[in-house]
Amino acid sequence: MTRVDRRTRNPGFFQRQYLRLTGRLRRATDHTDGETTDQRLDFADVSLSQLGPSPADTALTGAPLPAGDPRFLARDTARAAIEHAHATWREGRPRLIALTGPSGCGLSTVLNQIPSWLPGDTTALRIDLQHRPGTAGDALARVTHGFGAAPTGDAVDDAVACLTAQPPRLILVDNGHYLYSRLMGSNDGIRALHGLMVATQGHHLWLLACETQAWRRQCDATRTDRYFDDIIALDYLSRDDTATLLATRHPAAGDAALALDDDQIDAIFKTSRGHPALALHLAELAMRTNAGQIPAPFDESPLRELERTELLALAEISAHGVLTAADLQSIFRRDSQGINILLHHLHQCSLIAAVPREAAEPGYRLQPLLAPVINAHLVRANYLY
Amino acid sequence: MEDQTLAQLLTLLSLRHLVETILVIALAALLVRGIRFTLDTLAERYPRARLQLAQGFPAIRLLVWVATIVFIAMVIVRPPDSVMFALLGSLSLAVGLAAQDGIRNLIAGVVMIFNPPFRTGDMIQFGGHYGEVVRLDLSATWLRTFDDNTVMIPNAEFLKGAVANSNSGALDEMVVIPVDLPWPCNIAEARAIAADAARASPYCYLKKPVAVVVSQRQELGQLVVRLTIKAYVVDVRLERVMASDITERTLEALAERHTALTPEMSCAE
Repeated sequence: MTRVDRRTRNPGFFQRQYLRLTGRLRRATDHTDGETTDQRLDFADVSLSQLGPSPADTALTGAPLPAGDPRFLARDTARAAIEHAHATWREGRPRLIALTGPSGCGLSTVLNQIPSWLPGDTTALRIDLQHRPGTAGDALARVTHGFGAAPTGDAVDDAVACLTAQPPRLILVDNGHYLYSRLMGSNDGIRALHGLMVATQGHHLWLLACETQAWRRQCDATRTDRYFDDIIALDYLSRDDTATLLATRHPAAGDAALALDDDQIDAIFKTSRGHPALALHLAELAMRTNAGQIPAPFDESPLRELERTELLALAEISAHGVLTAADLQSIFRRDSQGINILLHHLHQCSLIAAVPREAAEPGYRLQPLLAPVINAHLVRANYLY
Repeated sequence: MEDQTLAQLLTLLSLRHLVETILVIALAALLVRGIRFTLDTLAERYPRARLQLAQGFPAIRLLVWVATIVFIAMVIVRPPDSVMFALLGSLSLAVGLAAQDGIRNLIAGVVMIFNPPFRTGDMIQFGGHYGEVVRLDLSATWLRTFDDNTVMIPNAEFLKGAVANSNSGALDEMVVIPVDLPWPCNIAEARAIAADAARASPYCYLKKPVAVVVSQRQELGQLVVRLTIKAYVVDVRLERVMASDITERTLEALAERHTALTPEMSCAE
C-alpha cells in the first residue's frame, strides 16, 4: 500500500504543494473515497479518456500524411540532408541513410514525402516491415518480394545478385524498429538484411526509418551506425511548429472565434512536448470544453510505482517497438501466466496498447500518445539509454 | 583568581547559552535531515542521478556540523581566549587519550571525504566483504551485502588495506560470470552462445561491450574449459540477478544444442 493509498481526507494546502511537487496530486484526490485506485497514467487534473476514441479523420489522428499533403510541416534540415545524400549517390558514391526520430514524431509522414523531394526520374520502392524477420530467408524474401522477384533462399549472395539485376531504386524501409531484437538466437534475419543493404548500397539507395530508441539499441548491440553514411535525426516539433500544426490541422482552423491563443498554445506545447498527435488531442479537448482549458502536464506517479521488471518490460517494448507476450516471455524467462499478468497490469495503467496482427499473436506497444512521457521516465530511471 | 575563573565558567554555562546551543544543534540536525530527505526525494524522482546525489551528502553534512560548532563557539558561547585555550588543551588531551581509535576513524573519514577511494552507491570489496556502500559516516562506512547483511567497517581500516571498487561512481559495472564446460566441447559455438546469452539478458547494459574469454583448468583431474563472460549490468543492484540470468541462459542453450554434452561435436572433429 502506498503513502497515497492511506489518505482518507482531502489534502491541505501544504500537503497539496508537496503532492504537486512529487507528482501525486491526482492520485491523492482519487483516494478520497478510500476504495478505488486509479493506476492509469493520465493528466494531473483530467482524464485522457474524456477525449474518447480518436476520430477517423486524419486531420486529427496521428495517421501519416500522404505525399504532397499541404498540411505537412517542412522538415527543411532533413530534406536538405536527404537531397544531398541522393545527389552524392547518383554521382556513384555508395550510401546508406538512416532517418531516426522519437516515437510518433512523424517518420512515416516524412517517408511519404521523400519521393516528391527528389528528381522526377527517381524510382522509389517502399518496404513496410510488419514483423521482425525470424530467419535470413524470411528477411531476404521480404525485400525480393518488394522488387517483384521470387524468393532467393537463405543466401545473402543470391539476394544481392537478384537486387543488382534490378534497375537502381531508392528503397524506403519503414518500421526499422523491427531490425532490433534482444531475443536469443533471433538475429540471423536482421544480420542478413543488414548484409543485403551494405552489399547493394552502390546500386540502390537505402533509407531506413527507425525510432530513436530502437536505433540506439541497434547501434549499441551491433554497431549498425558504422555502416550508415548519413544519420538524420528528427525530433518532436518546436513550439513554433506546434503552433503551425494546430493552425493547419486543428478542426477549428480558420475560425477566429475558436482559434487558440498564445497561452493555450504554450500550455499545449508544454504538455505534449511537441508530440504532434498529442498536441492535436489536447487542442480538441480545449475545443470541447467551454473554458478552453488545457490539461496540466501528466501525473507520472503510476510510472514511479511500477516494479523493476515492469519498467524493464516497458523499456524493452519501447526499444523493440512492438513485442508479443511470447517475446517478453523469452526475454524475461517468465512463464506465460506471469507475463500475461504483467501485460494486463501495464495495460490497466494505460501504458501499453495491443496491436492486432493478422493470423498472429497480438503485439504490444507503448500507448502512442503517452510514449514521450514514458520514454522520458525510462531514460531518467536508466532503463533506456 | 579562582573566583574569577569560576565566575567565567558559570557565565559560559548559563541556562541561556545552554538553551541556545541546544536550539542550534536541533536546527542543524533538522537541516541535515531536511537535506537528506530532499536528496532522497530527488534520487527517487531521478534514479539515474541516484549515486551523484548520494555522494554529495557526507560533505554537506560535515560542512553543516563544522559550521554549527563554529557558530556555537564564536557566536553563542564566546569564551575568553584563556578559557578557550585551556578548554581546548584539556579536551584534546582527554579525547586523544580516551578515543584514539575513534579519532583515528574520524580523521580517516575526513580524509575519505576529500580523497575518496569510493562513494555512496559504489560496490566495493574489502576485508572479505563485498557490497554496496549505503552510508558514509565520519567514523565508519556501512555496506549492504547481497545477503542483505549490513556491515560496519571503521574508516581507519580503509586507509590501511586495499579496496576494490567495481563501479567508481557509475550506475553500471562489469560482472564476471564463469561457466565451466567439460572438455571436449565446441568452443567456438559455446563462446558465441555465451555472448548471445549475455546480450539477451534484459539486465545487460548494451552500451558497453560484451566479451567472452576462454581458458582451461583442471577440476578433480578432469580438463575443464572455462568461459569467462564479461558484461556490464545496467544497475549495480542487479549484479547477481544478471549473473544468474546469463548463466541460466547459457547453460540451457548449450544443453539445447548439445554443445557441451556430446563429445562427437568437439573441436577435434
